[in-house]
Amino acid sequence: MKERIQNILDEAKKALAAAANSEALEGIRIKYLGRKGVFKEIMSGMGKLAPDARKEIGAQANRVKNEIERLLNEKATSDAPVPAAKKTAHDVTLPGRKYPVGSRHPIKIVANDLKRIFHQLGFTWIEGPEVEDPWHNFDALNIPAEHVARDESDNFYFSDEQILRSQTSSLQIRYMENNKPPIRIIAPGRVYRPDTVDATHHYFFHQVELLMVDKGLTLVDLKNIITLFAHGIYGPEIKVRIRPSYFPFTEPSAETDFSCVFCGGRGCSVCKQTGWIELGGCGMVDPNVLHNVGIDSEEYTGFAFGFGIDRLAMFKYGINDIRLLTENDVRFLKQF
Amino acid sequence: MNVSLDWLRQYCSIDVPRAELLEKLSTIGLNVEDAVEKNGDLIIELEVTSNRGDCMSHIGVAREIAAAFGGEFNIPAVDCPVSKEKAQDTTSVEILDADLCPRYTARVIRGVKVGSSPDWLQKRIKSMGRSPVNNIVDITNFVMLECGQPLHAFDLAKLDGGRIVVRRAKKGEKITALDATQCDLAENMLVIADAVKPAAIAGVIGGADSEVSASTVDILLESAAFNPVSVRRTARAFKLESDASTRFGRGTAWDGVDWASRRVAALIVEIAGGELLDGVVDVQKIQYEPARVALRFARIPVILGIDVPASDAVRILKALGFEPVAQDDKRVEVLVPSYRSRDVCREIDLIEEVARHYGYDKIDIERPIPVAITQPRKRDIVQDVIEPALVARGFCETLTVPFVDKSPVGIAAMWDCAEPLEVRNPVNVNQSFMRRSMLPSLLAAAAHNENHGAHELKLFEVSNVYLPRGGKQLPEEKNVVAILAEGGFAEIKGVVEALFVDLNVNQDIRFELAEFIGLDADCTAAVLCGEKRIGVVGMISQDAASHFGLRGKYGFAEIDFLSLVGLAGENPQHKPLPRYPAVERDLAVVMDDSVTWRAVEQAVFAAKAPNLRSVEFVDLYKGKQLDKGKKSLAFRLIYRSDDATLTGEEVAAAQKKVIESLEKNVNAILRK
Repeated sequence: MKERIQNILDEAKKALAAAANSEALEGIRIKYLGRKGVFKEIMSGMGKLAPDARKEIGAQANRVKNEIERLLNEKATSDAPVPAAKKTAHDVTLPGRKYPVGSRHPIKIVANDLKRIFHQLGFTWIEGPEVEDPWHNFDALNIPAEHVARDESDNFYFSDEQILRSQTSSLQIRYMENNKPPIRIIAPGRVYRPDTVDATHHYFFHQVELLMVDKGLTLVDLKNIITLFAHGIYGPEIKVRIRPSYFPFTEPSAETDFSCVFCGGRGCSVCKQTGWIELGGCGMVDPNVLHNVGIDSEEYTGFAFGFGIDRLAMFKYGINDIRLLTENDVRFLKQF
Repeated sequence: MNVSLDWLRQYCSIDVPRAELLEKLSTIGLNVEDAVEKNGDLIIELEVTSNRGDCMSHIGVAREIAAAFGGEFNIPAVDCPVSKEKAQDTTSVEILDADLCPRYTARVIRGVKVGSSPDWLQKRIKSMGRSPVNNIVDITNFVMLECGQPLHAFDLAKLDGGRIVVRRAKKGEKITALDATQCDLAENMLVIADAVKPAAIAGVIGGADSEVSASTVDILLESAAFNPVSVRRTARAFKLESDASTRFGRGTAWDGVDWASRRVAALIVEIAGGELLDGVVDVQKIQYEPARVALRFARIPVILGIDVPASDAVRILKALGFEPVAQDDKRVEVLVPSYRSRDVCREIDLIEEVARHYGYDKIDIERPIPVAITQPRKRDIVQDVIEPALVARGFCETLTVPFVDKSPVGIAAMWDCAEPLEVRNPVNVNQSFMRRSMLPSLLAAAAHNENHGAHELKLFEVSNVYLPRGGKQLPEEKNVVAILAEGGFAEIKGVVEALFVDLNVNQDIRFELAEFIGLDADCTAAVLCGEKRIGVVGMISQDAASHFGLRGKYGFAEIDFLSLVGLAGENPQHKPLPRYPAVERDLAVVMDDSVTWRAVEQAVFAAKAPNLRSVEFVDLYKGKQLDKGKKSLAFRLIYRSDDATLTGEEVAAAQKKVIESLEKNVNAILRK
């Protein structure tokens, strides 16, 4: 039996050497490896052998079969193709199969950028209600009953007790009411103000509020956090400056400017030739606010930073009309 | 607020280049919006924050400039000869509503000659973009723009009884304003009346009747303090926001009331002639005392993070008009000037004043922030799975405004809740309610896109619906995953089922026929986990489609996001791969059309067929080859043992049990 198998191999090698075209090769393949080929016959005869012999012969037969298969393949690929009708190559310029492709909303992309950056800085992401009561949206934020910020022209009212939040700062209060320092949170959210809609204004927009409260925090730390954030989102060449401003819930208060991301601070139409882009408000948490949530302002200090996500997204993607963000036109959405 | 550089120079010396001045103004908190060269002057548009009523004037801005550059600051001296006649003998002032008017002063000037203003005055008025009227009115406007205190001149002869009564309007009272606006006064509005009738709307606008005209001879000059909220509210009610109302609306200075009155009187006598009566009728309903505030120098670095020398802090406060009354090496106590009484009353406010003028640019030290570790919350992780998964399946993420109209589909709700929240002051009538479902929002988005020729729309949004709980409680804001897809029920259900797979949900999720407004009652399911409904999946109803003018067929799903977070399997645990092959067997059975797939599935498993692992739906057929009311279901049964390769006999025995159970439980007949 062993010799017979060895002979088959020799025979096959000769036949292969003699084969001149693909038809001849195919003939060899069928003769040895086909469904009714030589090896099929050998394998079916194996049952008659003793178990030990069966194992040995089986292994040998497999080796030879594999060798013939290998030689066949080698011959088929190495030999210059025997003149046959030349096949036209596949048109590789045809489009591939269409897989469905959706899109993320630009506001969500930017919100996720912020999430990532502030996670790296150790801030926890929190949410809170959009429908608020005057305590969280105003009183606790040091906006007293007679303050202009409470006017109906600046807020959507459902009743005297319920409004749509006009700023994400209300989330500061909600968080501090239930958590003690040290606090490091970032609160993104949808906010509402009855503004006349145009290319840069909408009554529905998005803010992010950052809050940090601990012992020993100062305006220096606030500026450093904002600078880290600026570098995180736009790169290390961005400069940050703060200017005095006024918000009822921070004291001292400041506006935050980034050096213009478009012109690098040299002056362009986006930054109105100033080299700076106004980003948002910030400041040290007003002692009244800390008092309102039961935190001792002699022991703890804190800072808050709030800014618009819409504006960041518009800068990032060169969107010149805020209305596009809520129009939900798929021709717009699919660009992101 | 616009200021004229030329005008500012009357009160302070400015010897820096213009660019430096503008830069400085911005860095001390008076943001320069614009600066325009006009007739040799520079008109600077400043953004004055709402706490700084004092900077709604040239003197206020000049004070800031002087403090910033350390230069001179001078307020004009006011000196005017008076006649022998006393104001108190000529007129009187009565304040009936002290809550809205804590102070009212009246001066009287007799024998004026109303005419046009001299050039210098006209120039000032014009530089501020206003038109000169006559010398009397121009002077009051000039002084308002100079010091921030609005004033009003009445024609004394037109005031019944020649006296002033400050009171709330009476029911039904009317007044014709200077600009001819007819105002029906409400009872909460403060008016300046004479003995009989309203002569002006306090702090907002004068009345036409008592207006200074060419024939005016004697003038009663008002300078007063009014409640800011009252002035704002009244001005807005009549859409009469004016220079006066914006200044009163921010709050004016107590000490400015009399100074401005004397300043106007002196200018009238100088420009329009006449005689100022001796004295003033000055009714004060409160005792004004300047606040006394202490600043501990040690608190400055605690807040600012930088050291400011005590001497610098005191110098800055002095320059801004805070008068030190006590000082040692640890603290200084100052009196707050009346023009800052509204926004400076605490130590922290003084620290801000110091910081503003010491320079926010000096707050520039690199100091590391201590490291803190944060863990993403499970909801963040789940959101980061769901959203990209839907995007990968071809869905576009929308961002819809949550306002809806009050049509049935507009206020449709997928969840138990009270009546929808209605906005008292909506942007428009079609956006006056808060949505209780994402359905109307996504349908509106679909309609917009259909109108722009889009087809095969696939939209999704993870957002809030607002579910009132009734009473004064704030509503529940349910975060939901909302999906809208053009196509049939199987499409939309498939998307939802895929999410459960994405999230490794291993609880049994059921879909049961249910009805919701906006969805087709024959093709809508509640999504249940145990007894809890976690969502809705269904086809858009005909009514809803026509409300939005939609042509396509859409499926909609709204799933409670927090339920998904709860169901999501964290860290799925590895199971060993099967060692033996599975055997698949297909079955086709005929049964009544009313039998659900779920019932078939249950009947299959009720057979307790050994080694049956799962059953997969293959096909549903209804039609000519079957009797009416019948359907054929084809499905695949998968058998596998962990212990051995199953034999044909074992599988056949199991199949027999399955078929018997189907016959018994759902009256199914094996289709040959």
